Amino acid sequence: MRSLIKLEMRKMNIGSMLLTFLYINAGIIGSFLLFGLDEEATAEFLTSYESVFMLMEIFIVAAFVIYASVLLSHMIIEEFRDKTISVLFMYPINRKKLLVAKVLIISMLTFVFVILSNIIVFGSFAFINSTFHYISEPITQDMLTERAFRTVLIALSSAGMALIPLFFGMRKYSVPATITSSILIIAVIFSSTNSSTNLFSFIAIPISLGIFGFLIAHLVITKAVKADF
Amino acid sequence: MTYIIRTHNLTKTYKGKEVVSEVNMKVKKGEIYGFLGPNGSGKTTLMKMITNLVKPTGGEIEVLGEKLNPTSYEVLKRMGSIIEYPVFYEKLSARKNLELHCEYMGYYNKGAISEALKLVNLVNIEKKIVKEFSLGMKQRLAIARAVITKPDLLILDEPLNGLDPVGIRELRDLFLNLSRQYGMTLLISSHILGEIEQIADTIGVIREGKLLEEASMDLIRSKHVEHVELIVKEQAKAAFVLESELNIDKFKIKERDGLIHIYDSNISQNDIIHAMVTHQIEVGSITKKSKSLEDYFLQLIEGGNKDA
Repeated sequence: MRSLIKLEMRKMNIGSMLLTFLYINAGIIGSFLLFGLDEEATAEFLTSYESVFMLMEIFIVAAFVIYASVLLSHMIIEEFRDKTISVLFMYPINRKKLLVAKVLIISMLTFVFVILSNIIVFGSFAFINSTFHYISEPITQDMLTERAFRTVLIALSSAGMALIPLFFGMRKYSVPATITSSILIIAVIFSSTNSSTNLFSFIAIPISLGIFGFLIAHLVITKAVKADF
Repeated sequence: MTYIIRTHNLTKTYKGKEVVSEVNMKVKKGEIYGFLGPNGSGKTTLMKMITNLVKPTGGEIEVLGEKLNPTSYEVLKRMGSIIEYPVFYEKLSARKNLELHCEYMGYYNKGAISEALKLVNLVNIEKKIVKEFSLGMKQRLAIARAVITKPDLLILDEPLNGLDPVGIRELRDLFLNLSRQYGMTLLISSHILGEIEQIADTIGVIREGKLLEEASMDLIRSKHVEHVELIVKEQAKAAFVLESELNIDKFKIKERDGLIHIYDSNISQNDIIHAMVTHQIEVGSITKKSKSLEDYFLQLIEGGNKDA
């Protein structure tokens, strides 16, 4: 399995992927800076660490779940659409393993990206805050521990959620369907009734969505293993 | 006799329609098997079943001594194939595509890639991305990919599509070489007989999913040699003259009045007429019939459509 993952990675453009990761982080940090420019926005978003954390979470999960749909398109949907999958399926390798390797890469990348991004964005924000003093409350050890715990859970859930678009994308091997569905999923999850809660605030929901995503991947793979190409 | 591919009542149904029906096909070790059929006759589906891309609805397939089942993966290691049309990772270079292929096949021979590219006459294109290739080049690259691991069985679906006449000739020679030198068994499909007639040892003809004929090229040729049709008044006398005067023993007396088929190509029509005239046998007509193989196969392939 490890060698399969390595082979998959060789087909990807790692450089552009890292660049995208950096751009996304820069974008998120940039929007925090923008909020800081405007007094109203500062008052609304940058009042407490709790609201900053929530905002970060929305940005990061949204960005990387959508980015995962781009990866899904490249690595899975396009392989089926362009029929390169039939070349892969003529190799002396179990079809299931081939597909699991692909899904695993995307899940793992999403997990790692979400964690790293949380660290980078929060680190940057803490640094910016030390200059501009938006928030005066101190960061406590408890706060960080709780945050770290939640971040891991959210990252795991995102790793699963990122796979949900497979369900829509694999029906007609459509890249637009894959990406659009990921955007819709994000829109639904983060549509909030008021600014302090959304569906994602209740940890059970991201976790269930994560499990749901893995189930969908399982379903798609099982179907592809049996299918004719 | 060792068979590399053997199918038993192989059938595939798509949405209630039989695309391949009860095919019993035998491909012998080391031979070039020309698989002939019009577009949409089930050639590709059959080849896909042999490479395990498509699962049969009924029947059995034995490849390289193993019975195929949905989880037969190991046997694929010994096969090289092009199915339908050449597909590659278009954004990657030719070399990278082949490198990946070798890795997936579990084949680690550093020189093999350059060697295979040379074999199909693709030079100085290793770094080029496949997207920029013409169809003919892709076809060559696909053949390079199929042979790179020196498989025991090559399955080539319309490998000569998109090639110019020179290319067709080159690759035909390559196929012969692979078969004679490396002992590979080749299953080559085509919808044009002329493409494979010269190199095939055996021809299988498929139409509407049914294998109509499977015979060695030699046998088919011997059945369809050129002949001279001679029509005379006195059949028996003419036969005697042919035998005693011209030393021809390869002829057939047909029941139709006065018709004789002569299968000896060394005798000129002049000699025949001369002999007949000297023995005062009235010659009604004499014509040379050369029903080419092409006609024969066309007839076979289109037989069902004639009435339509």
